[in-house]
Amino acid sequence: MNAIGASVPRLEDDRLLRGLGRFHDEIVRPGQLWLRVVRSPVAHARIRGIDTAAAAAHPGTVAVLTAADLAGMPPVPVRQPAPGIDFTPYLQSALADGHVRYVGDPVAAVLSEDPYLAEDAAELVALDLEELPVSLDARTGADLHPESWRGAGATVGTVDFAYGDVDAAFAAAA
Amino acid sequence: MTTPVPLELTANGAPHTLAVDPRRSLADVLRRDLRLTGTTVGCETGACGSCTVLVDGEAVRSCLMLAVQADGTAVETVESLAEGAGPDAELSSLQRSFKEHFALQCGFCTPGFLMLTTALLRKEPDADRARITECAAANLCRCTGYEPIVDAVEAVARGAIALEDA
Repeated sequence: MNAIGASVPRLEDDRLLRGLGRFHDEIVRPGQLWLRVVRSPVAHARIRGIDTAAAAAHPGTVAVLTAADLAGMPPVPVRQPAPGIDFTPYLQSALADGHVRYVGDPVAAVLSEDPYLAEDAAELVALDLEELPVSLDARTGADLHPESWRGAGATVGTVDFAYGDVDAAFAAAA
Repeated sequence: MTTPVPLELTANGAPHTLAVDPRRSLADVLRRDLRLTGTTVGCETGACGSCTVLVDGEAVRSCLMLAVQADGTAVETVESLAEGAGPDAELSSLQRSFKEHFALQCGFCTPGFLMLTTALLRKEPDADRARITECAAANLCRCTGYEPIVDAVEAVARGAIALEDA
């Protein structure tokens, strides 16, 4: 059988059209908890403190995690490392450690017995942030060496990639 | 948590008497309390339209409507579209048209598009392509590129697929 070029009926359409598909949010297991991430409201700041006491005391809360609870865990790796470039200073920990580096940077995670209570508790996590300068244009940031990158610069590395004779190709195409 | 508020509505014709926290969304009550999980919640902010249901015939984003606001209404979800009950119920003409035109891939947004365009075709059974496109622009789909969805709805509007129940 060769399906290439043919219109092949899909086996999964019937249940999806009836609303009988099964997506992640349909799965509720016994004892399942809900997680709500507390995120940075600012683009760049030094984390002076995270007060999780009120969130931890909130009904339903099972745990409130911050970077301090993740000590020893490796940072999130880059998807496609390039030979000869050291990404270490730029890597992100699962929860912000010491600094936040963009709006939405995950700072804390609330685990609760109920999704609504998880949201309530997340709102009670108090962040003490000391804002730092931001750079909004990659082209003018080359001289930056922010402390949140452990002193590294904005030029992470340079990758040269080319093949063929570009000038000859353009000349022949004219 | 606040005091639960009484709520009466019909969902796909079946009457329900509930008591719900007043801050809960209609989408959440449909999914969790009534187990109508065909209505999917994509963004929870009204942007994507995957949670579109019909409330007294009007297409609404059920993530933006509080469940208590639906008190006394008739709610229709994707589970009501097929003719008859159970997994062997016959698909509606619009559902069949979606299938024939490959108007779905992952299927997450599909219930929203089906309800949105069901409401359109009830009011404007001969809607033209421009009108269908305008209407479908209310919802987001990341798989199809929209053209197959418009094709599917247009086929029903043109009568190429019989509209006996849409």
